[in-house]
Amino acid sequence: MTDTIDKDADDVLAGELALRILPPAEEAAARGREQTDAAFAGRVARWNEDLARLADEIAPVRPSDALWVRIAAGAFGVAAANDNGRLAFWRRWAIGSTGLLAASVAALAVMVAQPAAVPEPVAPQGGVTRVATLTLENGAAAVTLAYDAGTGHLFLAPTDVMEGDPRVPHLWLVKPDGGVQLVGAFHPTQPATHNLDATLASVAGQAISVAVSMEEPGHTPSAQPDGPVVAQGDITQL
Amino acid sequence: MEAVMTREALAIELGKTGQGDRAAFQRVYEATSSKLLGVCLRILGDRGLAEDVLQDTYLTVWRRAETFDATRASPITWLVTIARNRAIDRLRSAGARVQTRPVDDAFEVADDAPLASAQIESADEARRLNGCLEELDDKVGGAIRTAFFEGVTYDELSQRQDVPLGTMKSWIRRGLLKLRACLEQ
Repeated sequence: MTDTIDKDADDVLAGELALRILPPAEEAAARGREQTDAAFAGRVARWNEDLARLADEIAPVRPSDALWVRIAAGAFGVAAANDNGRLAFWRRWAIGSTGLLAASVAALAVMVAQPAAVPEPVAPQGGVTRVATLTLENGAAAVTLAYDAGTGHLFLAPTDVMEGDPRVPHLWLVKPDGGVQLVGAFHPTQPATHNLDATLASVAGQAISVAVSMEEPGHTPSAQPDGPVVAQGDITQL
Repeated sequence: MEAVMTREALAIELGKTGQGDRAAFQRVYEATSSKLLGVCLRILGDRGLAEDVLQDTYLTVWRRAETFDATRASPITWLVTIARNRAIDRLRSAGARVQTRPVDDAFEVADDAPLASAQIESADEARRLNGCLEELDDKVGGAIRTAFFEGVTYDELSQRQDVPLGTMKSWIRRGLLKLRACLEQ
């Protein structure tokens, strides 16, 4: 009988703690007990598990794109600062930028910080004037692009969404008149810098958007994509 | 766009996050941040404050993901609990002045809202909880729901419903006991 009463009292207190309904002093005492009493902590955990189901009734609200940049900076900041200063470059670049750009930089910051990224990509140095985030039809980020019109350097940082696909991704520029221009094949997962020749550089300087088509290995399309276009994104002028 | 992820996939990504996998952490964020912002916003009522708390929440997740145990907790409820507790801490911290809603309005919002987590995992457990809450007196079930959704204490609940503090405590405590018994059936 006493055991049952004690168990009930513990369950009630655990529920009150999980619900956060206790006044501060009582909450602090119960929190202290949770730290030292495993059985009580288990009761609190079970209430948390049960009560959190109520959150199913709360409609989701999409955070602003810049929030991930703040979180990534806070979480990865120390380690990334040692990453040849490249992340610092991208983060400086993100300050004051648009939400789209911030999201691009966030994806890129994570990419360049991957320890396995070989060959070593050369991040553009200061002259980046045009950027884009290419997304799949379902909204998932596929590639982040940064272009330096002064040098013709095109920096591409793919996410892992194309990993394992036997086809070869090809990058296309979409011109203001709607025509397309092939830039070339790129590695599906590794960041890399491409140097555009004068003709391509001119098109890249005016393109309004970019797209990725997946082509069969060994095949190079010419006037237009022969494989499916899987990702695209608008170019933002900085 | 919210990435769709099953409970199992989310648990795996959280496990990888606990090992320092940054890409996995980003996938967890993409799959869950809208839901958790909804939770923070519901408690704090202010978008900027809610995003600040969401940032704290994910930094906590990054640091504590290694303590997540998939055999003991569902990944989404683990995340919701962290977000809700962070939001309540902020609500109660000095200087926080955020809007509060009358109880009746809160119920209306709750009742009209869609089942948002259906894409993350089965809503069976939520239905079971709601079924058990419905077995309680309306005023008791309502008080428990308000405490969850708005992070208010006994004091504020008793003032809002205009009943003595002791009465509110007695309602909630009896309600929690009945709820536990019902959930264990």
